[in-house]
Amino acid sequence: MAVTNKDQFASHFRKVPTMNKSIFVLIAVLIAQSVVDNSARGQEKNEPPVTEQCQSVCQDKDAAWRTVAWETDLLEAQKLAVEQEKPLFVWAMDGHPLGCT
Amino acid sequence: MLDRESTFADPEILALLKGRFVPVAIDQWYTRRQQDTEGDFWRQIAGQGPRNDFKGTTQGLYIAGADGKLIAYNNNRGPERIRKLMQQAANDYSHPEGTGPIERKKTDVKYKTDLPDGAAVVRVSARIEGGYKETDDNWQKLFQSAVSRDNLWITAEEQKSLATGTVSEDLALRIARFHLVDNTRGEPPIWTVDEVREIKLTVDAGKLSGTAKLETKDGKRGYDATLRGELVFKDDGDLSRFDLFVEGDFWGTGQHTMEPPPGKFPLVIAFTLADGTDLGDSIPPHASRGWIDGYWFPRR
Repeated sequence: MAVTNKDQFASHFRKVPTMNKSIFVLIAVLIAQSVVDNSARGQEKNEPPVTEQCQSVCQDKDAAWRTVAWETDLLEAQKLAVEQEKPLFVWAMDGHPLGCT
Repeated sequence: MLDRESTFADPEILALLKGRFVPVAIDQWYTRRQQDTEGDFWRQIAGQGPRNDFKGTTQGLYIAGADGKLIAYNNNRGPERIRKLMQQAANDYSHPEGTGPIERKKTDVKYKTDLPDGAAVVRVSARIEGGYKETDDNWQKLFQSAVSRDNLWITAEEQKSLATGTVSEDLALRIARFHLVDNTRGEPPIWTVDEVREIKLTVDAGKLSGTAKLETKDGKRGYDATLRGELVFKDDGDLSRFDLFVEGDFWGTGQHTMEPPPGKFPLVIAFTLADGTDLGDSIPPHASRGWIDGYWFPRR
């Protein structure tokens, strides 16, 4: 009959004095706890930081349309059109073009 | 949204806007309704174009003189036509003689939505993370990769409440009803109170966590999501950081958000405290249009 490592371990464990057995069990419990803790920490580590996740979704700050000095008040724009003698260009949408959808 | 990525990404159009025009961006839903000086001026301009029934949309791109005379109108996709219209208008334009600045004689407070003292502005961006059918169509590609934009407003009192470890019911419901939406392809339908099947949002030691289950009665549109965030406060209890990340499965569509991915698809929504440097930071939340009280008190 083949003797397995498990059998050898059990045989050895029976020979260990009671005091040592307690220490042995305590060490085993601590190791198991450590494995569980590390696993939980690992899960947290695997989850990207919230700030990083949020930044990954934000619109491009350097998008070309953002480089234009858009007015948001039609009368203020009309005043500028008079001062600068330029025509108005009106981007009129359902929902604000700069802030919605 | 498509305009931002196409027409207003065109270098020639950008140069024209910066050098030869006064560019102005408006939500005409407000302006065409305003019974005031600004509304009158808008109706003068738009009334000369093809969308001159002010009960319906006047959406489009308009070129007008300082006197309100319409020079050109366009509502087609793509930069080619608008570039030509702009070049021609800029070359032909001469300032209308005798035209001065229009005096603002009246402001329609019904359509004037100001941020209350001490309130915080939080930028809200959404993106669909997958599920679309592959396409060679450039317009569809723009739709599929679109990042939407809106603002969440949080009152001073609600910030103080968060600082003491409580998410107010109004704030949680406001986030759920008005901001957990798919607005990546256009103006989205908001959720009714009854469609918010569940919104759990708690704060503990500066960490936000929660879940949301939103679904229409017929089950055709819904969103199952988890919420995770981090908050930091100043000494006076005001927010100095508000990061909230929402992810989950969305399904269904709205009248102006057609052609979503089939079935359930992953939708992420990011909330980040605004710092006032973005052009859009001053824009009121989309869902506050016409009824700000309904936005502040979403159970009404």
